[in-house]
Amino acid sequence: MIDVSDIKTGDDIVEENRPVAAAALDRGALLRRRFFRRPAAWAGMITFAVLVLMAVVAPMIYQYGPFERDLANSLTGPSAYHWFGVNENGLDIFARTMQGLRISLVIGLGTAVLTSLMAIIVGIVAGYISGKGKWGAVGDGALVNLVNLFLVVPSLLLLMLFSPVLQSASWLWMIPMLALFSWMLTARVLRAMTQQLVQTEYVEAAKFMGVNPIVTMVRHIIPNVASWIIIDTTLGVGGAILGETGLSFIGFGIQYPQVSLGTVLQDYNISAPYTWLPPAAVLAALVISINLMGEALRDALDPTSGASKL
Amino acid sequence: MARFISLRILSYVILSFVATSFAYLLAASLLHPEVVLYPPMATKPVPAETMQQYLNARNINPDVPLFQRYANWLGGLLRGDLGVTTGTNKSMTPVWEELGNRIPISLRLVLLGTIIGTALGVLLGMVSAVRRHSIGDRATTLLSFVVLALPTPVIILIVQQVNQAGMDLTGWGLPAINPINPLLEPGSWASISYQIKALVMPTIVLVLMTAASYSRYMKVTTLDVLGSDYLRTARAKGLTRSQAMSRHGLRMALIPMGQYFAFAVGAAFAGSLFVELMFNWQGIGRFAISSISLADVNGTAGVVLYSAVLTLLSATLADIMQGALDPRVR
Repeated sequence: MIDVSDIKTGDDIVEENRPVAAAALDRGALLRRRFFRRPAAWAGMITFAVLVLMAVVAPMIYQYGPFERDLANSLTGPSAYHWFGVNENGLDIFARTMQGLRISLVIGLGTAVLTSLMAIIVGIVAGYISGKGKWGAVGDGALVNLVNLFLVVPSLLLLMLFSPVLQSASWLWMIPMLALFSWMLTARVLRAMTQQLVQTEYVEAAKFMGVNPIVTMVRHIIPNVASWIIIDTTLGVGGAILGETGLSFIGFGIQYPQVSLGTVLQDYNISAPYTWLPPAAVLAALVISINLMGEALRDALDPTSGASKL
Repeated sequence: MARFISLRILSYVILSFVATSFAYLLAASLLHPEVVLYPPMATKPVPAETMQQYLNARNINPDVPLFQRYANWLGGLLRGDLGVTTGTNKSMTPVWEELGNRIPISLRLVLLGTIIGTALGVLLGMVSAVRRHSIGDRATTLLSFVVLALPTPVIILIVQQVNQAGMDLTGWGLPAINPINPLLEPGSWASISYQIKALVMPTIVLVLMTAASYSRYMKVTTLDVLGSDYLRTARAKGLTRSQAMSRHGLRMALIPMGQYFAFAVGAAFAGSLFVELMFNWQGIGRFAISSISLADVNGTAGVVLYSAVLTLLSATLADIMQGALDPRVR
């Protein structure tokens, strides 16, 4: 039985606590402060912002396109006209690097988000149903074996098989393809975390109150693992970019009408370091800036995590 | 212990069988070796019968149902026959022979890289955890952070460029490409020393990559161990720091590493693919790239089988290691 006085007391408590809460920092402000306190976070954010700006603006204002040939100047170093020089085939390296940066950014961000989405669905469902009777254990076992199967299959070889077929449709297919082979480890960790959360009182209480399992997952489990998911997604961007450039480098990634940082690196020439140093430096700056932000975020969200000791 | 290991091996065998089958079915449905059959320069079309014979001999006939071709391949696998190379490569070399020639080239690279890299990574990770905030720790952490942020081709390019710069400056350097020098007499000291020198740069690349990720994992697990009660007890009963660490700490810190090792060989295989491409080694990685681009169904399946067996072996080894280190799983 709930009567009016109970609710009133509840309100009073909130009223009493409010001045205290205002004096202390709320969670968001605390996180922001912890995040911005780190110089690594600033370095990462500024580098990333500059790179995004360059990727957006540079192809619009630069006078050469990624496939325009200037054969008269082929294999010449940086100059006022060709900022990063020209490769053996007469292609301007700056134009290609900037165009490649665009593609790599889109693929990296898209893949990381999609990977997390897949990992959340598989990991949380597997963790949730594992303690729910015989059929739950069977379903969980099937999902765990699916994760193990994807860990065992030679993902690089399968990507090489799939890629040319799907690339003929659209280069954006690269995003689901890369995500398909990179969600497993995240899903494993999420499953273990969910299994622990399912045993807590508030999840049990939700269950006994007859809350729909999906609502329980969305309302009680995901918010509790959200900080970990955010960190993993951020760090996943770098991993996806590395995967995409590697695949493009061996010729099975981004194909002709588009150009990726991996394709630019493909035209390397050891006797002319400027053919590969600029794209490699841009790539390194991109991945390092993302990882710096990810690690700063991890320290801000979860100061006790093992990885923050690094 | 024996039951634990045999159960794990059984599950790995099933997993790698499913993975290989999956890869064969994908390769057989996505690659179209029959397309390259029609010679553009021929004046007369190839007779239908010849065509059927040609396709059947290679088990790539698109008129035969996919699962029939898969059953044929599986039957061959049981008899120890992986079929012949198909696609643009019309020489019909048995895939076994091709793999047999290439595995020694790749395997020495993968094994050397993984073993040295793992040992170095474990050592560096442990030292940097014990001597936390020292210069060595900062250098190791920074280096592994940078190496992990670079794609394999860039690491290879840096190593090659450094070697090239050394060669330009001093006139002496390691061989830039090729695992062997065909001009030298095989078996002679000159040839063997060339092979050893040629192995140095690719190994450095694989060691860098393996050690970078291992030192990170090892640092985390060692830090967890360093804060534990039993290590404090060991110190309290009079052991020195290094004694306590080597007798009690190392073992506990290594247990979680076993799980990473299971997948490290797979990663080394992927790494060796780039190394073989850029150092011009005619190994399995090179064969993987060429067989997929030449629409060679049987060759692709053979490579997948090789990598599945490699993963199987390393996962089993990881389990045995874990069983030896951790009495709880026995």
